[in-house]
Amino acid sequence: MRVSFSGKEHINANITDSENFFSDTEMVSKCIPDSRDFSKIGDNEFSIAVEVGIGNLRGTFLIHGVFEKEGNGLIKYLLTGGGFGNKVSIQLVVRMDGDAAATNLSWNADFDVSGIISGLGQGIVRGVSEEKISEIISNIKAVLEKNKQG
Amino acid sequence: MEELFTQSVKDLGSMYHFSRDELEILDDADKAAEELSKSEFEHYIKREVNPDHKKVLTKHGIIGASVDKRYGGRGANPLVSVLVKERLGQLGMGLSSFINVQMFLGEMMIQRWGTDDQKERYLRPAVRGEKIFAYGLTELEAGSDPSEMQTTYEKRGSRYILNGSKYLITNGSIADNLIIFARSKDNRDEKSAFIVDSKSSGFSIPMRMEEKIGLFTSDTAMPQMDGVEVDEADVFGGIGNGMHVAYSGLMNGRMGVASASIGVIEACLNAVVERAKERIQHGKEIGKHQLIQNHIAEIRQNLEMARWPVYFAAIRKAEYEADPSNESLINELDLRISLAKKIASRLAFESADRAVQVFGGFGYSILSPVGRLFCDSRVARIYEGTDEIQSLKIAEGVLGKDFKAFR
Repeated sequence: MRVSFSGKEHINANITDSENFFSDTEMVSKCIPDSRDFSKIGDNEFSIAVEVGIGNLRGTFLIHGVFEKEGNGLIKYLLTGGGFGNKVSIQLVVRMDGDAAATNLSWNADFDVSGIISGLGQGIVRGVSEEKISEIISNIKAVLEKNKQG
Repeated sequence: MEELFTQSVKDLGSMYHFSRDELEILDDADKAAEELSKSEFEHYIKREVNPDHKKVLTKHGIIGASVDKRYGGRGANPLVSVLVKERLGQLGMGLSSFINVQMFLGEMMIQRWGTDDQKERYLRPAVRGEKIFAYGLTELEAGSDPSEMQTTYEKRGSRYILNGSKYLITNGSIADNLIIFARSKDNRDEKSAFIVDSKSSGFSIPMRMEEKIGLFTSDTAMPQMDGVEVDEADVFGGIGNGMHVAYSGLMNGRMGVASASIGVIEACLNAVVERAKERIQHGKEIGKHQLIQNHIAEIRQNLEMARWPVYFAAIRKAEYEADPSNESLINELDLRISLAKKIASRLAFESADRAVQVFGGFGYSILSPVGRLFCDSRVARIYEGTDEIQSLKIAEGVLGKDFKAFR
């Protein structure tokens, strides 16, 4: 099952700080709710365990992530993995522009899910995925804006 | 708006002019269903009542949408009300049961039979989401024949004292007020209805039915009354008029079940189309296998066969509401509603059965949308009048009152 969605966010943080933040997989991983066991594999690769679930259907996804910085404020994350009878592949594309005062962020996420979770139906999967991505983005925004104040 | 629901509105729009207000109600029903879909799923798989029903339906102005504007509602006519129920029915019969009782058996009954004082005290707060209703007709030994009810009332001064218990009552343990039907202790042929406050002394819920095979997000309980006192002001529809009130409520309830059944079929269709395009077996999408296509075609046909009798009954109901003393209209409406309820509920269950088949093994789980619809839709052939009762009413409608199978 493929689910795609996108969003925009205005962050009160310097564009350079924002780009640096998104390029630091460890920093980004800390913004993923219910995650643990982050491990850096190389400059652009990492692994992480993320607990996901809906209601009492819960389990842990072991995710392998690859990050690419393409310049001009364009960053891509390719996350693949799975757990408890599911496979997932997520491509997250983040575009940033801005100046010393603020960053305008736009993002696009493509989820490809198979297994039990895909059987729940597109409406449910979309809702949960969207919620998770929004949570990650708002956590990142909060950290960046706090760093700016600090 | 959801695609199949949009199609229903569009199809009906070619023969009925929806006002701007009516289209807004339908849009709000769509938003409410969208907002409830995740929590409905979460609570379903935990097998628990969804506490969000009231909050979300109130937020979107749906909980009192059918109530007349004079009492704070939005004045949705029967056709628009049916469409609202159709969209909510896509989430399964749990949500549908809640709103069916609240709106069609609670609010609409108070609007029809309530005194001005009752409308002020109960109807207006209900539209604001401040009062939840239940409809206490069924008893352990009085199901298809409610006239056999054993719950009694007796008059003491200006109050009535109720004793007895009710059985499998939707919203029974979450209701603020219940419309309770009882027979006179002195004259078993005299039946009356009362609005009972669930906080009254002597009112209790000794059991909630949690071991159902579906409908987990809807509350089902067995309210008991031990000397519950009801003020004269809460006699509902007049002393001795109980069965008349009860049967008019059942007609509303049946319309609600029929409407929700359309939603169930739509949800089945959406689920199997998604599954058929994604799941690959024997090297191709299962939707390319002809026997799967047959199931999809049958479900689509079921949708077509189910919705028109329901819409037609709703159109007749609107005519009846404008001319309630028209005897031939009430008889025809009774027949139309029984036809709609029986056809739509059977086709909903049949569609859910086919949808489970398309899903294969995963369909036999309540994690799958079709597993939940299958479990839920079975009850549509039972509550608010079984298939068998509808058959008798349909036959009576065809043969005439002299051939009525039950008195």
